[in-house]
Amino acid sequence: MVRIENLTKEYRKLRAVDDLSLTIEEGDAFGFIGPNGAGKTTTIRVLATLLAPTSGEAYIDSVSVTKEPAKVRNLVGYMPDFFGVYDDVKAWEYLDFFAAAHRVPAARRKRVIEDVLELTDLTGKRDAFVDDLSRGMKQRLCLAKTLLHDPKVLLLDEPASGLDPRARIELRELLKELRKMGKTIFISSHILPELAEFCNRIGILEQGKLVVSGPVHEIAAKVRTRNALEIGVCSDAQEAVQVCLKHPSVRTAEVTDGRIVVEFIGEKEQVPDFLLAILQQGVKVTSLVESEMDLEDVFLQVTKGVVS
Amino acid sequence: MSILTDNPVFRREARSRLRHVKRSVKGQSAAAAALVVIIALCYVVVFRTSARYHIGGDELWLAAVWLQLLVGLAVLPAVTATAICVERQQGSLDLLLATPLTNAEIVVGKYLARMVLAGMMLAAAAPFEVVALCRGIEPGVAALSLLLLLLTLATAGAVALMCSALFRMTATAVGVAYSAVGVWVGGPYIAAAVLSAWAGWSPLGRPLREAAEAVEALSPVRAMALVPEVFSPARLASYQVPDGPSAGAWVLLCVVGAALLGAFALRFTVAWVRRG
Repeated sequence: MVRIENLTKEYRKLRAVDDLSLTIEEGDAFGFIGPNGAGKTTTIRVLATLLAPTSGEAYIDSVSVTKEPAKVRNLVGYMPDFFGVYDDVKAWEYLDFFAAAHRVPAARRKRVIEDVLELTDLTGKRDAFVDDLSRGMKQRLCLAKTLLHDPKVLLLDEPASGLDPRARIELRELLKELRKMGKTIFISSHILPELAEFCNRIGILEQGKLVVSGPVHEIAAKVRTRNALEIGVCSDAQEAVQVCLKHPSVRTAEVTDGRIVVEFIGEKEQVPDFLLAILQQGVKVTSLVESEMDLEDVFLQVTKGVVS
Repeated sequence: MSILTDNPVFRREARSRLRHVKRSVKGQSAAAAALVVIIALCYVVVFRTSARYHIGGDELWLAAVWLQLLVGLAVLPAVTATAICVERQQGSLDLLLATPLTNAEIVVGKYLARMVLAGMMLAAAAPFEVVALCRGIEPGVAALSLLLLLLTLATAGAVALMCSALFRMTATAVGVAYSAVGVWVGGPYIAAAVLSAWAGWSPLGRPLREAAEAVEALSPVRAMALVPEVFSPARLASYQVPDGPSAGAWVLLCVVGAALLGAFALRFTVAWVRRG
């Protein structure tokens, strides 16, 4: 659905996006992650036809963003990281304007507006002035605007930035709903736990280059350089730490939130032996789990240059 | 979608502005009524005064047109030069550019909305023009001055809109728009003065004086001053070159120059709106 081929964008001496290639399948929720200035917004703006690439090409549903931008604008719904709203415009008027701009026929426009207002839970704010809406409501209104022409691809640039926790949760639920509706979602965000819960694939960008991309669990497996074990004990935790440290396969051990976190440098097959060893030395183990690598760990690992 | 009759940008801007007008009329109906009374009084006073002092319809008409021209030139750059850069500054332009609207639809919609707004402001002078028509006026003078007025304001608006597309900061866009309109209106006088001075000692005296007149006529203010002379050759200005081109030719030159400048400014804005 989205195909980026050797995309490069330069601003004078700065190379914002460097030879980026990426494919996103229909129905994917793709999380685009990277530190500030990594080139996420530039990439999204190229896909939204707002920027021309220096070289390379991008396609939305096999339509070139550089050669047929007008067609692409009908295929994508774009929500920027920062957007302003017009003064003296009511919510429905705002949506009516963008529906007209997207060539939604006048006869259908009212119905479409009601639908997107309902979907974004803004029906009650239909006649409110846009300027008077809260930040979260404005974000939802912008998302409603993005859906007016029923685009196949949603390009969402930091949609949750500046939202309070409740608004973030509401937005996340809304995005989940849209994914269920079959939309392909290309989303950039700094709030990694939310992306982890919502996206089936991610791409990590650093200094304009795509460092890694794919399903979250595959990337986590790829970047894992150590096994972390979390051990629950009902005996003295500090004593248990000392016992663990004596084992040759343990590099570090420390108490975190009442549990012992062990950096295990041995093979997976050696874990049962390790468990037996500490049990034999009097540590009363209540649980032992291999700690999962979350998206934040992956991000930190990858953007440190460990993989690249 | 027709760029003129079904332009969503124009409709949104007009709706937004008319709501403001509607609100103020609703909220300040007394003030609106007072305004109507004042205009009516002006109408009566001007009509009676012009009759008593034998002020002709032409003079009244031209006074009103001059008033509209000067007020328009003073107001339009500020109104129009904000059209695009304000949207860029507040972050709504990207949303607009991401729609299938063409550059021309966006630019023309914004341009027309502001021109209509300016037109509504200038309509305040209309009662005086009605009085002038009642007193009798040379139709050619009325038509040509009106054409020149509309063309001048349309071009000034287009130049200001171009500045709005070119510059990111509103203050810069407005400042440059006023400067550009100032150069267009006043620049020809300066250039003509230089050419005339040069003609004083150059062996190419006559061609230089004619060139000075031509350059001066590029200013819409100068062309407006020439309008009565187009229809009353006896009133030829003393500084005109004897047997040189007529006032009509100079006004035509200004009309063509203004039309070309306005068309260029709009075309440039259409091409630039996505690049700024």
